[in-house]
Amino acid sequence: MATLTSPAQDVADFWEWHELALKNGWTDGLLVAPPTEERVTRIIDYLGRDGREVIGAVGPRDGLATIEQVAINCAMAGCEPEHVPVVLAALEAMLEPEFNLHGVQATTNPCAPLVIVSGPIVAELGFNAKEGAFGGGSRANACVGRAVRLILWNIGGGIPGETDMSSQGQPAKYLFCAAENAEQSPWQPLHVERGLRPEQSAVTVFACQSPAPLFVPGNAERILRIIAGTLPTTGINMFHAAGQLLLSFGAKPAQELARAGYSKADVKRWVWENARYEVGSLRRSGVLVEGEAHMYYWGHGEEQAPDLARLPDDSRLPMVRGPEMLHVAVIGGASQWWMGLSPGWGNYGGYAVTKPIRGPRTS
Amino acid sequence: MLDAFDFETQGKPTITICHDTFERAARHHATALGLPDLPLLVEPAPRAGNLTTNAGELAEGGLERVVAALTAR
Repeated sequence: MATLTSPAQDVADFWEWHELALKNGWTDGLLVAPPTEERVTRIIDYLGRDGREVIGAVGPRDGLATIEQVAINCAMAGCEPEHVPVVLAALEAMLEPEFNLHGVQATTNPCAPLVIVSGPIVAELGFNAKEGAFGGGSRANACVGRAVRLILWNIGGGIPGETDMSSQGQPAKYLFCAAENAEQSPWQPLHVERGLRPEQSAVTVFACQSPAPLFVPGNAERILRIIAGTLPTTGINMFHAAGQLLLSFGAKPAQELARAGYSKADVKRWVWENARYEVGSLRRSGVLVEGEAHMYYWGHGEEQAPDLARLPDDSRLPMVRGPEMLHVAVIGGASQWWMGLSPGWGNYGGYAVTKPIRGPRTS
Repeated sequence: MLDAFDFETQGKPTITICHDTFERAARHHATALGLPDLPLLVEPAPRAGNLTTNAGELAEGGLERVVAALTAR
């Protein structure tokens, strides 16, 4: 049985614990479960790992995420031990350099890490991938998403107004976890597309905004034309920072696209080629001003950004560098023609990272 | 911030340049690193329209302050 190193405190009841958690800044305001010795120990014992093992430093505070610290936050989020490997995979993904977690936590952009769970574990643990996948209704979605947020809060120190300078934030900063609807998806699962085997379970973490819902009724051509007509707006983050973007399809429009012969790669290519800005229109509207274009289109540090001053009015500008910067996942049920649009943080980071979910160590 | 921390703990003076938007964040980070008085050079964050016209001026003004900060100790 694991021996814990964190100090313990006695509390009389749940509400005394809640006040203690608020007073010490251990929660962002929502109720959290008391991480009792019994619950934390049960998680560590399930994982079969040393509680002192360090997963990594979580920015911006650079707090050390040990197995014990992760277990404590998972217990506070209401996780059962079986949920914790999913949280650990998400943490490992967020610690990869291309995710730039420090930046994601500190930016003025409202982005939050979205955890997309895929593979057999979706059914095994009861993640909701169908109706309401981004909302409530599943303990697995809720506690994994919440655990990730509490780790970012307690270990990473992403505190609004102190280190988290997001001008407005977003509700997804409380929790942001959904699962891929492989059962009704006509396409290759996200983790397989990203190099893992179908029988593996995985998480893909992507820093983005809550899905803006698009209503895309009709046949494939109409679905794609609605997307192409909606995406290239000048207020969208892609306009000044490019980066990556997630198109989360409900099962119904995804099935319609597949029926017409479109693969995920076809959808990405079509959207990239057709969802574009017209240079002349941007100039005439006063949005794009010569000499300031670098401030608007594709922003700072994007070496591949075209030199707008040289482009004729009939040029059509892509929203992101290439089709590979668009992510497509099937999240949600087949009840209606809905899909979601989630712009990422831009070319500063928060890029999608996929990690396999590793089971407990048995030796 | 981490580079500044490394240099400072080796006894080498630093000054960390940050935008005003992130001054509080930088100060919190410095405090978390155990260096609450870490020198910061705070510059206004670029806003649409002012970067190309003011960048040189900002850099020149900043340079003097960087040199002063690094040679003051």
